[in-house]
Amino acid sequence: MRRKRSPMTLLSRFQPSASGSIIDFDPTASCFEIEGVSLAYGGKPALRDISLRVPRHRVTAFIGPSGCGKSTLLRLLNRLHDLNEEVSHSGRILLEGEDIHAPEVAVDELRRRVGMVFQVPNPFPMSIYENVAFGLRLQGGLTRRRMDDIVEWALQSAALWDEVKDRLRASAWSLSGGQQQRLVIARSLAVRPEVLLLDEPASALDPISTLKIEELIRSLKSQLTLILVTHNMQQAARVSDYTAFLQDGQLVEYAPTDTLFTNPSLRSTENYITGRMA
Amino acid sequence: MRRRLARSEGPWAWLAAGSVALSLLMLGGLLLLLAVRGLGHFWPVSVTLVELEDGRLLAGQAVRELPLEHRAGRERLYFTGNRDLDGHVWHWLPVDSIVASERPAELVVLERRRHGAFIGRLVAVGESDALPSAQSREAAWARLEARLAELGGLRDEYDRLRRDVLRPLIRRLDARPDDTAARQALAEANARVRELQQAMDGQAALLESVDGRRLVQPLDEVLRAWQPNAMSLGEKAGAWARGVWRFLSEGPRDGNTAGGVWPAIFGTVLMVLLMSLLVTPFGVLAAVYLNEVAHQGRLTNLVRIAVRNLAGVPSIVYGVFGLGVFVYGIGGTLDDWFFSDALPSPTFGTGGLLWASLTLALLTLPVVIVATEEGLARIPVQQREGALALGATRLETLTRVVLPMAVPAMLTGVILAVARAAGEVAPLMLVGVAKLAPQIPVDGEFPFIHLDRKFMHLGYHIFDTAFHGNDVQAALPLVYATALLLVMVILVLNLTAIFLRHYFRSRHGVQPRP
Amino acid sequence: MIEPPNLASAPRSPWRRRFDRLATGLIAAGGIGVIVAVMAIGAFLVVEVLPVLLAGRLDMERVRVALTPMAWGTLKAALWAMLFAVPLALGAAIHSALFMTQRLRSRMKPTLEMMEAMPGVVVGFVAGLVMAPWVERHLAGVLTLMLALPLGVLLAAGLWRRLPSGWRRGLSLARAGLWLVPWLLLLALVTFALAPWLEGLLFGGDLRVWLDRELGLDYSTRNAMIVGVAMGFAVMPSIYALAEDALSGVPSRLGEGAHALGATRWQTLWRVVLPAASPGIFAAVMIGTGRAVGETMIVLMASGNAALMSLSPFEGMRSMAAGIAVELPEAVPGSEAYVLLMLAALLLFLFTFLVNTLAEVVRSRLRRRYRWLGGAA
Repeated sequence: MRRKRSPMTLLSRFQPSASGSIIDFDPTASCFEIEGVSLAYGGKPALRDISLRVPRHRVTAFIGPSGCGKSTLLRLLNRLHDLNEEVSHSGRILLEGEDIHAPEVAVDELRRRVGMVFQVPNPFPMSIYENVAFGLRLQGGLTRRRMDDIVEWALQSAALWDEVKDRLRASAWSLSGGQQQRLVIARSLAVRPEVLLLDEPASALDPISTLKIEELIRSLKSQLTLILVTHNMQQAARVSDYTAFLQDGQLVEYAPTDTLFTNPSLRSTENYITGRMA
Repeated sequence: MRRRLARSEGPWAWLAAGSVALSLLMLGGLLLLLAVRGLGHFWPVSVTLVELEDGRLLAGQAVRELPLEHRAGRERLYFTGNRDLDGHVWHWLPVDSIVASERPAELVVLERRRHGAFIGRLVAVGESDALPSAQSREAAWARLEARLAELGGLRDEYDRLRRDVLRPLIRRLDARPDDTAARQALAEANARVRELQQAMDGQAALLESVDGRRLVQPLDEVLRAWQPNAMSLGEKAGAWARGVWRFLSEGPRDGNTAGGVWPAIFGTVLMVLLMSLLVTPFGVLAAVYLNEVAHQGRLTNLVRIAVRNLAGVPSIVYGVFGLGVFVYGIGGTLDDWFFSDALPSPTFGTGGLLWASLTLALLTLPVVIVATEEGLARIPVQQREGALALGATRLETLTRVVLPMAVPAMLTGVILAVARAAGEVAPLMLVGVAKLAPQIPVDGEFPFIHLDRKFMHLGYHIFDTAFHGNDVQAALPLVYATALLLVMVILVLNLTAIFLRHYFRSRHGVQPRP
Repeated sequence: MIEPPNLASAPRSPWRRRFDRLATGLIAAGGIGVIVAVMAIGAFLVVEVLPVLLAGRLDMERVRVALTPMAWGTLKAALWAMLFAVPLALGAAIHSALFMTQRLRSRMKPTLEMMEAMPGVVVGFVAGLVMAPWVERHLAGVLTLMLALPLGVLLAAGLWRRLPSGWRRGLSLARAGLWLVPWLLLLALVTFALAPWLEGLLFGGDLRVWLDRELGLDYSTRNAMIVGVAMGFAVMPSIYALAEDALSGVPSRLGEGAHALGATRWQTLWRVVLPAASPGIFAAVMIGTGRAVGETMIVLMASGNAALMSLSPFEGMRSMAAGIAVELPEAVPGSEAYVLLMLAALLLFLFTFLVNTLAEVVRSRLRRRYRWLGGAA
C-alpha cells in the first residue's frame, strides 16, 4: 500500500529504493519501518506523511525544533497515543515486519517489546528493587532467585548497580535525578525490550548525569535498538548513528549522523544545525 | 495625604480583622463551655448546709446564681436531692435569705437506683430487720463502704449471669421449647439468680436529712456513696476520673438523667463502621470510573458537578430517601418475603442499624468520591505512562501504581465521611435510632450483628435528653459531657484528615525534581 | 560485559487482557451504578409526589396552607443566618486572604474548618438550651453588644494609630485577628456590666416589656435571632473557605499593578480584587444559603418550631427540614400528610440542587478566568 509522497519527503535522502551509498544499512536490517504516517490531534495535523526505517542495534536520533512532532512520532511507536481519544492517525508502522496497529497485536505485549523512558524520571513510589521488578511481576512465572538475577542484571546494564546494591529496599524517590533516570532505564531493560524509546531522557538532568546517560545509551546498542528524541544537537551528534531532522511535522532529512551534521544536503537542516550549534 | 493613606488601611480593614477575632472567640467559647461544663460535672462538688431566715435547713450542691427577676439581689440554685422526701430535687434560694452556710464533713451523698441522689447524714447501717437507731459515724461509714463493695461484686455477677447465660437460654427455649438440657440449665441459673438476689437483700441504712426527717434505705438500691466535704483534693480527682470512666462505660439510668453513654458510643461507632464498609468500596469505584475509565467529556463533567452538588443536599432529604426506599420499600418487601410470621410488627420494615448505615453511606458517598477523585487527578500522568510503557494493562496500571498512590486521598475522604456521619442526626431520626435501646445490636447470638435492631446514637442522645427528658436541669450536665465527647471524636477525625492531606501533599513534593 | 539472563516470556497475555477488559467493564458498571444510585434521590422524590399531584388527589388549597408557613420559616431562618454569617465570613475571608501572613493563614484555615465540623446537634443544643435562656435574660446586653463590637474594633483601630511604632509593629494588622480576641472579650464584659444601667436609662428598666409596649413585638425564648446566630455560626466556615479561595486565587499581578499606582491594600481590594473575585464570593454565598436552608437540627432545637409567619427576629418559626424530621416518622406512607412532607423534601432538594449548580457553574467559569489571567487558582 504505497501512498503518494509529498515533495518534501521525496527530497529526503532515505528512500526504500535508494541505493545503499547514502544509507549504509541493508533494508532487511531495519527494526521499525514507518510508512506514510500522518497524525492529527483533534483535527489539527501534527505529523504529515512520514516514512523512514530505523536500523536494528543502532541509535537513531530524532531532532528538530520544539513542536516539530518528534515526541509525537516516538509515542506512536509504542502506541501510547491509544489513551488519547482525540488522536487520529494513518499510515503503517511495522515492527520487525508486523503492523503494530493490526487487530491481533496485543498492545501490552507491544509495549513490553518497545520500552520507553520519559523526559522527567518517573520511578514508582516503591523500593528500587520493586521498581525494576515491576515489569517482571506483570509477566509472572518467575522464581525469586531468577527475579533477583534479572534485577541485578538490569541495574548493571543501566550502570546503577554499584551505586544502589546496598540499598535495594530504599525508596526509589530517595535517588538523585540522574540515578532515577538510570533506574527507569533499568526498569525498562528488565523486561527485555527489543527497542527502547528515549524521549529527551537527559533534558532534566545536570551535565554529569547527562554524560552518564549518554554513555549508557552507547553501551546499550549491542543489546537493542534505541531511538532518541532530543533537542540537543551535540547530544545527537555524540550518541546517535543516524539522525532524522523533522520540521513542522514533516521529515526533512534523514541520514547517517556524520553526514547530516557535517554535510547537510538541505538549507533548512543546515540552518537549524548551525543556528543551534554556533 | 498619600503617605498617610499608604500607612493606614482605613476602618474596613479593621472590621475584617475583627470578624476573624469574633469567629475565633465564638469557636473558643463554645469549646470552653462544653469542656468546663462537660468535665466539671464529674467533680464531687462540696455539699453546703444552709440555714434560711425562716429557720429552715437545707443541704445541697450550689449549681449557679442569677439576678432576681423583678427586684434587686441574686438567687442561687441548689441541687438538694431527696426526691422521695421533698418531691423535687432543685431549690432556688434568694441569696439574701441565707443566714448561715457551712460545710460539715459528715454530710454524705448517696447515688441510688430509684429517687436519684440522697443528701444528708448517715445514722446507722445494719440488718434491715434489726437496724440500730444510733451508731458512731466512722463505724457506720466503714460498714457502708464495705457493704457497697460487696454489693458491687454481686451486681457484676448478676449482670454477667443475665447477659451471658439467662438471655441466650431463654432465646434457645423460645426457638425449641422441648430442649430439656436448656431447661435444666435455665433452672440452675435461676436458682443462682435467686441466691444472688437474697445475698443483695437484707441490709439497710438509716438516713437522716438535715432537717431531721429519717428514712430507711435498703442498701441494694444504693450504687455509690461519698462524703464530698471530707474528701481531699487527690480523692476528689480520683472520684472525678472514676466518674468519667463510668460515664464512658455504663448505660443510662433514670430517664437519661444519670449513668453513662456506653450504648450510644457503641451504637455510633458500629453504625459509622458499617457505613465506612459500605461507602469506601462504592465511593472509590465511582471515583475510579469517573476519573480513569469514563470518556472525559461534557457528560463526565456534568456528572462530576452533580455529584459535588449532592454533597450540598440537606441531610434530612437523604433521611427521607432512606425512609421511603430502604425502610418502607426494601424493608417492607423483605418483611413480606421472609418475616411474614412476625407481621404486623415489622422486622426490617422499620428503622434500624442497616438502614441507618446505608442512608449515611449514601449521604457521605459524594464526600468520598470527590476526595478520591482529587487524589487520582493529582497523580502525575508520567506514572501511568511509565507503567504502560512496561507492558502493563490498564487494570494493572490502576491496581499496582495509581490506586496505591491514591490511598491517602481515599483515607482522607473516608475520614471526612466518618466525621460527617458521626455528627449527623437529622436523617437518623427517620431511619433508625432509639431513645433507649436496652440491647446493644451485637451479642453472642447468631448472626451476632443484628442489623434490624435499633441503636443508640450520641448525637440523637443529646437531642433527646435535652429536649424530651423529664428533668432537663438534671440531665444537662450529662448532655454537656455527651456533646463534648461527640465534638472531641469529630475534631480528632477531622484533624487526622487534615494531617493526612498535608502529609499526602508534602510527600508528593519529596520526589526530587532536578 | 554481563550476560543478559534469558527471559522466557510466558504467553499468559491473552488471560491478562481478557481479565483487563472484564474488570474495566465491571468498574464501569459499578461506577455508573453508584452514580445512578446517588442520583436516584431526586427521582425517588419526584416519583412519590408527582403522580399524586397530577392525579389531582391533593387539594391545592391544603398544600398551600400546609407548606406556606414552613417555606416562610425556612427562608426566614436562612435569612437571619445569612445576615449574621455573610459579613462575618467575608470579613474573615478578606482579612486572611489579603492581610495575614502566610504562616498565620495556613493555621487559621484549618482552625475555621474545625468550626465547620461542629455537629449541628451540638450547636443546636447550646443555642436552644444554653444561649436562648441566657439571651432572654440579657437581651439588652446582647443587643448593645451587637453595636459595641464593631464600634469597639474601630476604637481599637483609632487607639492603634496613636501607639508608638514599636508597639504597632508588635500588634500589627496582619495579626489583628489574634490580638483583637482579648479586646473583644473585654468589650463584652464592659458591655454586660453597663447594660442594666443602659436598659434602665433608655427602656425603663426592662427591654422586653418596652419592646412589647412600644413596638408590639413578642419575645419568645427560642427565636429567629438565636437561630440566626447559631446557624450563622454553622454556615459561616463554608462561606469563609470558598470566599477565601476566590480572593486568594486572584492573580497577584492584578493587585501588584494597583499597589504600584500607590493604592492602599484596602483600595486595591475594593477596586481590583473584589470585582475580580466577585463570582467566587457569589458562589460562596449561594452554597452557604443552600446549607442554611437545609440545616435541620439547629432550627429544630433553637427555633421553637411554632408555625408563625412573621419577620420579627424575636419570634420563632418552623422550617421545612425541621417539620420533616418531626412529622415524617409518624406519617402513614401514602397518606396526605406523607405526600405533603415528601413534597417539602422535594422542594428542599430542588432548591439546594439548583443553588449549588448555579454556584458550581459560576465557580468553574471563574477558575477559567483566573487561568486565563495567569493566576494560580
